[in-house]
Amino acid sequence: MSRGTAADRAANAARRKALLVFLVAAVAIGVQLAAVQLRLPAREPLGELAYYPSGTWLRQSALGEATAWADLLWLRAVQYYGEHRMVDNEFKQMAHVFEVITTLDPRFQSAYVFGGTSLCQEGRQFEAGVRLLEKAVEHNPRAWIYPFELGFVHYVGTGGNRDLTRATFEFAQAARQPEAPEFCSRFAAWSGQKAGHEGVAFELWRQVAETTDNAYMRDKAIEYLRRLVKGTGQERNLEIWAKSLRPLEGGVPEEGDAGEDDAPVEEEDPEAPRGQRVSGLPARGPTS
Amino acid sequence: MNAILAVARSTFREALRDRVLVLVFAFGAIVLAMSRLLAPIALGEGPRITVDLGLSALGLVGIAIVVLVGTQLVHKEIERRTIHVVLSRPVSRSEYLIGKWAGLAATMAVAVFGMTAMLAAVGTSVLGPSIVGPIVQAAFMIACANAILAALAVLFSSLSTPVLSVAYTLGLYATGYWTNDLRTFARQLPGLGGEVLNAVSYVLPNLEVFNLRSQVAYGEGASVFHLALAMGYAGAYVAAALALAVVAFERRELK
Amino acid sequence: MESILQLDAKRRTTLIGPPASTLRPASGHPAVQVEDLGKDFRHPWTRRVKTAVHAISFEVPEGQTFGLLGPNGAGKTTTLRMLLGLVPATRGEARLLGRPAGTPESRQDVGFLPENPYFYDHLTALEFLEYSGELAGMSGKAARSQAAELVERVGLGRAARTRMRKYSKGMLQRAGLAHALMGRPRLLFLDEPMTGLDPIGRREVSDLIRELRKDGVTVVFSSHILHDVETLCDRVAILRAGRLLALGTLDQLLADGAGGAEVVIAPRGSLALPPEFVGATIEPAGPRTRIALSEGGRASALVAWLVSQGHEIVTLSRERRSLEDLFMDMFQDAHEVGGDPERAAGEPVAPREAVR
Repeated sequence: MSRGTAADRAANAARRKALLVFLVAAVAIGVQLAAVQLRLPAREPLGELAYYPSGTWLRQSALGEATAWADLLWLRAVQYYGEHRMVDNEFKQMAHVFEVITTLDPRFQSAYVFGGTSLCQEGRQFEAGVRLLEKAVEHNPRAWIYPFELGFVHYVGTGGNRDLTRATFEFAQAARQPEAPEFCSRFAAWSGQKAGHEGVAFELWRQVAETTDNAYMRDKAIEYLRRLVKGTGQERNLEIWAKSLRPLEGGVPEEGDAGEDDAPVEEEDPEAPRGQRVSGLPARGPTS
Repeated sequence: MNAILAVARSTFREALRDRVLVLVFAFGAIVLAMSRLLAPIALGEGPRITVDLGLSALGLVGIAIVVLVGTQLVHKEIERRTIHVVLSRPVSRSEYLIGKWAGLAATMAVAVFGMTAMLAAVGTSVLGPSIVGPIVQAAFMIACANAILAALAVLFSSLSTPVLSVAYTLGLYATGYWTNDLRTFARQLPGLGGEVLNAVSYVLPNLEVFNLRSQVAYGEGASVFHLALAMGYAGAYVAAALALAVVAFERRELK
Repeated sequence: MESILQLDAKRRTTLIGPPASTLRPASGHPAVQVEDLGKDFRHPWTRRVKTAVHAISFEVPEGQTFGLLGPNGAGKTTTLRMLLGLVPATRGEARLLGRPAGTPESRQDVGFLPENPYFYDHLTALEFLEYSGELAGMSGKAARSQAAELVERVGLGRAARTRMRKYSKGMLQRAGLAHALMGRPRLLFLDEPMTGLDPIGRREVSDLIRELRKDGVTVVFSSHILHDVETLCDRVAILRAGRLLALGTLDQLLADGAGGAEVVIAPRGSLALPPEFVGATIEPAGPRTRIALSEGGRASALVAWLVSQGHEIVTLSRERRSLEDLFMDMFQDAHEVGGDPERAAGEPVAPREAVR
């Protein structure tokens, strides 16, 4: 049946009425929503993060998409950090969220590193940060970065949590891992020296001198070794050993490749013991 | 063989004309685009997240096609009686079912590998060409997993209604990622209960075998041995599911 | 002997071809052989059994057009579906072109038009026929070529390139017919082939069936439209409630002596009927004379006597029951045949067709 003109007009009129109703309803919805929002109590930014279930449960529910969930949670966590950094520097949910993220994806390096260090520093949740980094080591035992970060947070030790012995141990652990950068052993040596573990420091500086390809670093390492053996009667042996090392080019420090400048603390600790004989390694693990 | 190919081609053509492929493809492309848009707030994890979310979208695209198309594949033809067109010809019911699965698998594969091409292009732009190999491997494994689900969808579609077929297929998709946990529970359960649970965990499709997403996210692939084993497992499971479908369908009354 | 009679709308019949008893199968076995075929449907929950088809037996020689007649629910469609393997038979056996029914091989050289066909609405008729041909084992090229030929033959024309979701019922029926004819089958099953067709379409399908018959194709069609069966079929089986009530040629079924006969002559001289034709009525019909006999069996004798008297025979018409009359009689006072030592009504005793 073909539509006549009258039928078309009736249909158009009905459509116009319906459109008007729609527009009025849309405006009403907008106004109501704004009014409701104004009346609601202020919510903590991204407060829903508190309600995230455990990572284990989420992992099982993720149906093979655990890493994707970890990625989405990471985006939320970054927003959470940013919001609170600007507002109140309170990060109550950060430990939980990063625990969830790293359970979903145990290889998520940025989550461990960012989460661990920011929990220890801005978050003022040192134990939580350390737990997160220890979890990283447990799940990624051959990665150098996680023991290095553990050493770093213990060396810096915000809020009275400095533990140089632990820092030395962790830097040394990092140095042992495949593809660990050279500065790991330097950090270990320096930290050990500052902690008074001269035996450890001696071994670590010796490693640096033997393994580095940078002549300046070698010179610095030998200089620290000389300080450590001063007064022990081993000075001559040290010089003989130093001369036996393979020749290296350079000597002018390259950018980003200084000895003392690499260390977390710029000044030499005047309290560091001198003249002590080389002793064995300290006990494994943290001192506290 | 001709009959199988004819049925497969017809199934594929129907899926194309149903525009399911286009819709699902568009969804996948949107997810990929959004993951790139989110990259600036990812604090350096943008490229890895792009690849990771892209692979997830790829997996979802595959399962969406299997569920949207596959779960009503046979049932629709029985209800509409178009199955008489096929089975009144010298075509056996097993050829019909295999053809249906082949057409559905082809539809799914086209969607998955189309998305793979897009993801590989985006991945190359953010992570370099070395990511292409792992992406292709992961996509291939996703396709194998979805081939298993397609066979199960055909099985359920030939036995029950679309709603139930969706429920069963999605149920097996979910439990496919829990088989390892089931085995863990089985070890902790004493006596017969533990043995039954253990047996069930072997009967359910183990989809975790095909999950390379976490490796690809970190630029790694799988060994040739793993890929070969996974393919063999997929082939065997598809054969078993289709064989069951044939057994059930062979004597089914067609109205 | 051929017997060709003038058609009267309600009560007379035109027969095409010789009766069944003179037919010879072309290949040595019948196109369709059915022996004690039956189907029970069991309810999945209550387990109650409903018998759709009791033990029926019949044969269809090659080249014959055979009708399956019966009201709704008689078991016609179920019988066809059992023969095609769409529904497994509960008991009995059947063979199509010598091959056991229900197997894919048995459907080689077989075409089927289902009742109220519903086809793939996303395909055009040409695409659908090509698919059908490929399923029948044809190559793509051969299927395309035959599809193009068949869409013209069934009268689809340009509509063959339109998607079938836009087709009317009649167009779907034509597409279905073309589908059944793909692969040039030797045996054709048509379930209510005239459904949805206008009078021109019905005429075209009837002509098509007659052409197929001339080509030696065996056609088995089920219908509840008696006129179609009367005009097209060589032999008929009548079903009711899953039982075979009657089986035979229309002559056998309808000529039970109940009808009369009428002879129109151009008389030569006076007409005085001998005593043996008592009861016959004579009335003038213009320059001719019409003689009506109440018993059609005496028609031949009357014709012989008239000829011997020098009268010219203009027409001889045999009144007999229409199929509709038979149908109405049967379904008011059916005598069941299947599984019973009685013979089917009007069926001469013949080993293959005797009903056990």
